[in-house]
Amino acid sequence: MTGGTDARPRASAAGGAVPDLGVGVGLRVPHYRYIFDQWPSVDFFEIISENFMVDGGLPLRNLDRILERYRVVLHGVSLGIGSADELDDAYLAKLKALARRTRTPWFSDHLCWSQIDGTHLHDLLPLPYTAEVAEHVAERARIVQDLVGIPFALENLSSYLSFRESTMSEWDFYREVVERAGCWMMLDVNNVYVSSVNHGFDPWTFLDAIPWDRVIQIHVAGHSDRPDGTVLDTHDQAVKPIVWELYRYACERTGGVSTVLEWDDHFVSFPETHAEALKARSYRDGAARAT
Amino acid sequence: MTVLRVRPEARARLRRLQRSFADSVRTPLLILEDGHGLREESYDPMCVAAIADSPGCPGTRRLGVYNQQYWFRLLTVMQQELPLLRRLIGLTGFNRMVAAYLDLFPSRDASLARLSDRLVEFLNGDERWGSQLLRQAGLLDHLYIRAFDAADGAPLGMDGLSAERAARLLAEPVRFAPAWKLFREDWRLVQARLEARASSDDDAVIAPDPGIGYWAIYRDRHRGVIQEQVDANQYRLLALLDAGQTLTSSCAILAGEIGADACRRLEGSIGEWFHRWARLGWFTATA
Ligand SMILES: [Fe+2]
Repeated sequence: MTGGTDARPRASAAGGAVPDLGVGVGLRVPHYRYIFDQWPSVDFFEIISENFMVDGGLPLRNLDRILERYRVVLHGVSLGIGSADELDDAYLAKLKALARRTRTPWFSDHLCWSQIDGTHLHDLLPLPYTAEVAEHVAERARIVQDLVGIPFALENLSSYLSFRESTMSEWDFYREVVERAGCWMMLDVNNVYVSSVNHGFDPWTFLDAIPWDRVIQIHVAGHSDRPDGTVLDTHDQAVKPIVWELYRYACERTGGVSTVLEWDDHFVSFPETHAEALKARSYRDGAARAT
Repeated sequence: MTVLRVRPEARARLRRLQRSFADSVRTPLLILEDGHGLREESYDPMCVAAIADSPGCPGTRRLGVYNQQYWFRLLTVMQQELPLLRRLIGLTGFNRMVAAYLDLFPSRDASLARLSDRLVEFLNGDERWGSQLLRQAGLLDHLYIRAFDAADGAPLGMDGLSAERAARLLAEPVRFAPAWKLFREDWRLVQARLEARASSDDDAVIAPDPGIGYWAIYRDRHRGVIQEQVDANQYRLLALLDAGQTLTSSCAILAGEIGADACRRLEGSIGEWFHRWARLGWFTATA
């Protein structure tokens, strides 16, 4: 792939389920011009699936240009795997078509719900953590993974509230869902931190409960501290040191898996964004040396 | 691992919780000239009761984070997607209009790009926001949105047409590219929209001059959405073709409307127009 990756996919992660693509960046519109002018060397890009689940036009033209030179993985925001609604067949058909077009080795979405009674709230909303809700989600995740036909990874949420009826911790719920579903984890270490502050738990406890052989991708991102002591998952700045520390720990446990920096607001130039992402390499390399 | 059967009651319980959460998240903001406020007292009591207390931050305030995020996200998308309406109404009024629209027509699609799908229907039926000017402006903004990611059709090639193919073109309905849209304005709205987009940080209200205009909105070969002005006869011909008339029958109808003399003067031009429009990619090849 000319102009694209110089870090060839390492052997594999998660017992060979998927390749380790290295360190990538979330593909965002403000960076298109730079990318198409310079074709920087980037291990891979992660795209927001819904932005390209369209009939035609510029989004698909841009995507096809990217695909000529780079590996791409899909990351969705609207599947709503935890919704009480039926799964949306039309959505899944478009997702499958996009997976084919991009040849993504896996796809991910969030452990959340986003719609009810057909009304979309366009947000990643938290679920009550109970065994039955875990099975409800797992059942749907199995169907989705079977239908799309490639590994499906669920991302842990950053959340601002929890429900009284929850009977298990977020990390037990997360593990329960992926193990029941036979699917994978897209671990967002920034989300672990954000939720740990918002809900008053120890982020290291969360990480110690992770079945690491299920983790096929990691997200890092920046967050904002609010005056009321809560933390917002804003993706609008550099990754904070505490999040890098959590990432280092995740690298030690996984030996290094595909990693993506998410940056969605107050954009900086592509080289600056990429440089921030590439900080992940030192943690991955350190973990690789230690093993 | 044993597979747990999810009891129907458990799914129904989850549905009730998500419904009450959705109602609370969609609670309208108080949109003021200098900001906004949350109506925490209007959140569904069932939802509030379902949220666990957290130290230093009551459940309603945490719900407020989602309520605020919902409106900020949707208002921001609509402000970007509907630059003309925004500048015609002004930011505060625009936000109130969007809030009223989404209250009546909440999003039914996973994609934020479909958020304004029923806006024209809303404007047509709304007394406060449904003036002729705003209805036309809303339609224009919407046409640009739909043209942006409509399907790519194979353009109709006009070079080296066989005689048989040319004859068929005259006798069969023309197929327009999915991204092609026709628009008639009573104010200089297309120009106003271009200016509004070029100064998207400017919130000053604009008042376009009256003036009838006819436009085709379409995508160029780089897939950017652009526009081309057409004259009244071209507009009428395109509208007839778009309504399923053949080129031959459209010309006959046009002749009946503008008179034989005027039509004879146009005769030489219509072929040129058609070739030009085909070169611009307005038509797609029929099967
Ligand atoms: Fe993430």
